[in-house]
Amino acid sequence: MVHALAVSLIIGVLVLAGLALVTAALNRRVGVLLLGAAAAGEAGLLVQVVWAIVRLAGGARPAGGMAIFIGYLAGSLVILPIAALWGLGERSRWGPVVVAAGFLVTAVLIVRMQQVWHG
Amino acid sequence: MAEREGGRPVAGPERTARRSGPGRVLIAVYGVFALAATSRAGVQIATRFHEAPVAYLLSAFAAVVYILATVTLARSGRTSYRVAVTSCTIELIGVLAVGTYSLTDRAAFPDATVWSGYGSGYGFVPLVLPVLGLLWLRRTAPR
Repeated sequence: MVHALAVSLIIGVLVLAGLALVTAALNRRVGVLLLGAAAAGEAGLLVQVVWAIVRLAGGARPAGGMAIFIGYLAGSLVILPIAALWGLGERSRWGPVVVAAGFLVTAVLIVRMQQVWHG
Repeated sequence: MAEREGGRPVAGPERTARRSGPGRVLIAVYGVFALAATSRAGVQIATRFHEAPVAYLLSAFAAVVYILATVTLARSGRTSYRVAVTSCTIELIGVLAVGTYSLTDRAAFPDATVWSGYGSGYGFVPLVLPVLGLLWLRRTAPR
């Protein structure tokens, strides 16, 4: 798995988690900014998924096991949309906290994906 | 932006309290653990069940408890409330028991479950989560 992409993604989602926490600290609800942030994060994850598919199609195999890697890959795509919707439904500062949690979980998933890829 | 979601009638504070405010975050984190524990148990049981059947069945049991807690925390009503309290209690006992057992008898847990080492593989969130869950349930108890 391309290391630079994963590192950029991890830094990116951590920055977006910070943005969501600042939104919560300012007592705002989930708005266009955070929905856009979630969409941007999801776009980055899609790039990673496409890259992984290209690598797998090229014969590369995750050292930690194919099933687990595919699981993390698929899991990484569902977190942000669900977190964004669940946070949008909360009309208080706790909505952005949900979105922040989604970004943090995404960061952990990318780290785990790297570990599974390299074994 | 609309204040009311989906045009549904606004329920009383007691009915909505559990899934709003901090509860919203709690349910989200429970959902993540339901997903993580289910995936983990699924892979363990599907690929190497014979290696440690007891540990992997415990893994599956933990997954069921997380799913139950997530759903009943998110739903309103007294029955859901009772099931939520029960799941969080079982979860707390489970993480303490499995955590202690996994430290004293490492051979029984060749591959960590969600609750091994008091959830150390998951940043000890499995240990903190049932405590926060029970505190939240006490605050939002139906009268």
